[in-house]
Amino acid sequence: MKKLPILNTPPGSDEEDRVVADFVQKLFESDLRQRYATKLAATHGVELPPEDVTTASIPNIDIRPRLLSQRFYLTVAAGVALLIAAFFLFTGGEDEFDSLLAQNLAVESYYLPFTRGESPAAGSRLEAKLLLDYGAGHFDRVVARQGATLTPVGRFYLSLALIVKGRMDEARVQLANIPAEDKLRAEADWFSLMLELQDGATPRELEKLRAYGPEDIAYYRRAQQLLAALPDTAGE
Amino acid sequence: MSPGLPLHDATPPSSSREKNFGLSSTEFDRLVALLKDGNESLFEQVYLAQFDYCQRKLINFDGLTERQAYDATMNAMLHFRQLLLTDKVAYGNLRYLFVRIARQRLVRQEGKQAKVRPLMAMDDKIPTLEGSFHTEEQLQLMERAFRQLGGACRQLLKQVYFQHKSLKSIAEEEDQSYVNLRKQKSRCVRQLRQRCEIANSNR
Repeated sequence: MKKLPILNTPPGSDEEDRVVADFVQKLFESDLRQRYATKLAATHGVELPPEDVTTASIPNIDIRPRLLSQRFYLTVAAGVALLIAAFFLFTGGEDEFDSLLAQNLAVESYYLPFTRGESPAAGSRLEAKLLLDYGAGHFDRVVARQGATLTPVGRFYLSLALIVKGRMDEARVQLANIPAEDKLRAEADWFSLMLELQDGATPRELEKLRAYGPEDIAYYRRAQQLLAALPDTAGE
Repeated sequence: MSPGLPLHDATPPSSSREKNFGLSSTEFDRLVALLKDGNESLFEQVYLAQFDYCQRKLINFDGLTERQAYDATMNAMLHFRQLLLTDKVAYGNLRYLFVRIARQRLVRQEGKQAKVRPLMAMDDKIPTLEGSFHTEEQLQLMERAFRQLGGACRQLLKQVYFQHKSLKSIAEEEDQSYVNLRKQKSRCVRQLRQRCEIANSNR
């Protein structure tokens, strides 16, 4: 697939503005389309007719060996992600804070190592499946288990899948429901803080960031990076 | 003049109303004003009532299938909404324009394969709002990046680009400074771009 159109435009240009405008229109138009269709059916009896069947409707089948292509793409993706991370870390700039925040919330390939005894697969079949789905990138399937009874591990990965799908408010709720005594609480607190920072760095969030000391080995460096990259207007 | 019409409304009651979805020019202005204010109810009420008319016209005169006619009419309604918001349509013959836009959108969508008759020269006069090209997959990736923005950013970008509100009017409504709002919008676009970069590299 080609690069996303916004990435082909110079930052801050009129062209970029046009691409964003076009995208936002399309996005919200699709919501409107749905609403109109529902109203049309309910108030005017106009139902959506079935799709016309043509040769163009038949999808192309990808015959590449799946595993091979997946491995290749995963390797390339990991390489590119590392390069971007290195770029953001060493180049700085006024948007560094946002970049770091975005990196902290890019949880598609997030994985927590577990010891043998506490493997989530030991919990229940459902949780094992949930984790497998998460690892395979089937975030829709993970999110579909939202109503099920889950252990904190399941809940944690469910909240990450919600972040991937952009359903931040629901992710916040799931993260908040991880018990205080659970081992994942610290990790959940970190992601909750990242979600709060998305809506602006208020003094409350900055205080939480500063509270991470060198003893919080997993978060201290990341918190310091975020604090160092804060825009001048932060905390106002 | 019919009893329901306001005194200052100079629109002839019969033919003009018929050509304009039963609206007088004053009522049309009200519809546009409400739409710009974020109230879509009158627009929906009027245009959804015309949906079947436009769809039938495309089926009977242009030989479209029901599905093609439905999609073309839906696209026309969405496009008409944008044109109204950006003052690109004036009161005149809205019903005719609605059908013509539906035909035009279909031609643009399906190119040479469209099953419609050749269009008249007048179609060149129909205003358009063409944008950049996005495939379905690109849209999904960008949508994911957009949903990862904070609520304030999503709201602001929606107001500016979908509701076509000026930053000045948003600043007035929300009692904020125009300069801050402009900076906030730039920051939101920057964040969207960064998330798109990450999404693009993770593909």
